[in-house]
Amino acid sequence: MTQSGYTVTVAKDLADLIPSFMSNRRKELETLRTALAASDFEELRRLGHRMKGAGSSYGFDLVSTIGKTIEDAAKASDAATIGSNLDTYEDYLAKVEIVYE
Amino acid sequence: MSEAVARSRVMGLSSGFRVLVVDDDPDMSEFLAHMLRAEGMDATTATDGEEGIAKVHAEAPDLVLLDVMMPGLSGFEVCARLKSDEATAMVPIVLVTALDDSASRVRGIEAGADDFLSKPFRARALSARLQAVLSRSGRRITGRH
Repeated sequence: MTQSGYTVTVAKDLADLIPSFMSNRRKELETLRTALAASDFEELRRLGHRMKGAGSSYGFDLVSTIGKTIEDAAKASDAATIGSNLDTYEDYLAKVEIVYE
Repeated sequence: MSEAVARSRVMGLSSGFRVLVVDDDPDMSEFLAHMLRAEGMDATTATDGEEGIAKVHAEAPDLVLLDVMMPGLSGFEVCARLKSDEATAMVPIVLVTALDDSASRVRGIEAGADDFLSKPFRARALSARLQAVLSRSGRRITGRH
């Protein structure tokens, strides 16, 4: 466990892709916030689905986990669950530490 | 089998093959293209179904990795169109989906897909699956490389 509590181990040969991946995640968080404010559950479902697929492929398992939760909650129009998961996602993106192996 | 052995086996089969990745998520496109290039393949990308169909006609890839859930034309629709077109029907198509359920697989089979990959996945799964599809399609023997 590191100081932040979030550590991700990423394959070294993916290092060049990570800055863009992380930048896209931060943009995604804003898009998710906007969609939640508009109660656009279809957009939330789509974005959650995308997170689910991309996260673990890069080694960021929590991105996939949060994505699946958002996707499922969006199908149920469960704004409260989505909101709490976006708070977790924001905290994660602010604190995650990446180790290349 | 070690990663190195797996990689060398794939290199022997698939090095130089041209793969078109069709995915609306740039992170997944880049990830897949990166993995394919690491295996010695030539990878190009398309960001939606219409562009994907156009690139299959223009570039005649050896294999298409096709995402299912895309805005506009879905992967199922793209697959069905390519498989119903005499000019592209023989190009192997692997559907890439997070929908790891039997219903989506049935839809994929009906659309003519040659195989499936479920997201998220690791490099070894990708390599092994493509190796199998390329081998079944006979591209090692009859391909242009």
